[in-house]
Amino acid sequence: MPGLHFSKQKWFALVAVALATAAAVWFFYFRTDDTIVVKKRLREAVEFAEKQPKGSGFNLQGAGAAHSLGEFFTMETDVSISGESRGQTYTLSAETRAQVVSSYFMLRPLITSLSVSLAEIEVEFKDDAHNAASVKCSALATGTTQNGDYFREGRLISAEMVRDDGEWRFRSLRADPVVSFD
Amino acid sequence: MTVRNEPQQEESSTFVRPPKKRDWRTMCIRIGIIAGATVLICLFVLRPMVINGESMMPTYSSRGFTFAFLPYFKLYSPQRHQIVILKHAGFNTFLLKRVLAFPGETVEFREGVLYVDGRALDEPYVKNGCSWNFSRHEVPKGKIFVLGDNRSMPMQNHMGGMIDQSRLAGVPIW
Repeated sequence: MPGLHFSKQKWFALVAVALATAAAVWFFYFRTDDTIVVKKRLREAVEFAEKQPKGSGFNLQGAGAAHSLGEFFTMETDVSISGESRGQTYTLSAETRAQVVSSYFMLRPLITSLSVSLAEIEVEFKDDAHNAASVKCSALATGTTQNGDYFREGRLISAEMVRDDGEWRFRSLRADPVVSFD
Repeated sequence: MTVRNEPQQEESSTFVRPPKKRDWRTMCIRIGIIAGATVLICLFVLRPMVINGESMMPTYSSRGFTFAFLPYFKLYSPQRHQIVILKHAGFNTFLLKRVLAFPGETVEFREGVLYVDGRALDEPYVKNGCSWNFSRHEVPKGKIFVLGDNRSMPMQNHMGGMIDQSRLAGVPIW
């Protein structure tokens, strides 16, 4: 082919670059190990908890989101989310999957939009079979309430996840403020 | 026949020639190195920060700009009254606060005056007084007590209090 008369050295360089690119693509997009699966599962749960500004609260969409979010929890679970709002300290807690679903279904109409970004995710497996893991990360939740108040809150997340029916689910979940007076 | 070996006059005019292929390559490499170095410096040494919020007024206005010197706490320990930058969640949102107490010390507010270990702390940077009350709390091990300078806001609206020392990210350079 005219114009493609590369020396042997250049061919080697081209092949090396192509291999490095393929390895990078595989590493970042196609590599799967349990740590990646747990992180992906965590991000999926967050996606179900988020709410787009145009989404309505008290409707089938909300019920569907609440039900889907519930699937990320074991039947018996331990959820505790604490924070401060309007000068009041609050703690949301749930002990069963049904309570998680109903709590989220009740809370969802109170916010117009919710966006959560996770960072600093650390996964530590509790056993050699990788059936239980302890997960820590920080989360930044931004959004607006029905009153139009904008909020931006950081939380430290600590969770215990277990493999249940082939899926990773939360056996416990705690979200505490990054900084607090107590 | 005589031959005069006169030196030829050199052409004094300067002329421009199109850059050679190698010049372009050198220029691209230089630009790449400068861009790479800039990115690395901004990520790990001097990180540009946009200040947003009123909690540090009047020391910092509600909208401002600074650079965070990130390696600072690898070299030094935090000092009382020092303004620090703390990781809030991830590495994209930070808090700008002042360090007021250390592990093992007690903090309390009485009518807007901050007491550390029972002694009133002199805070010349606080321009707006307040009437905050906060019962005595001990700063737990591994944490520090931080707060903004703007005390005219209700205490509940402040994002302050105990925070893990591991979240210290750096100091503002101005």
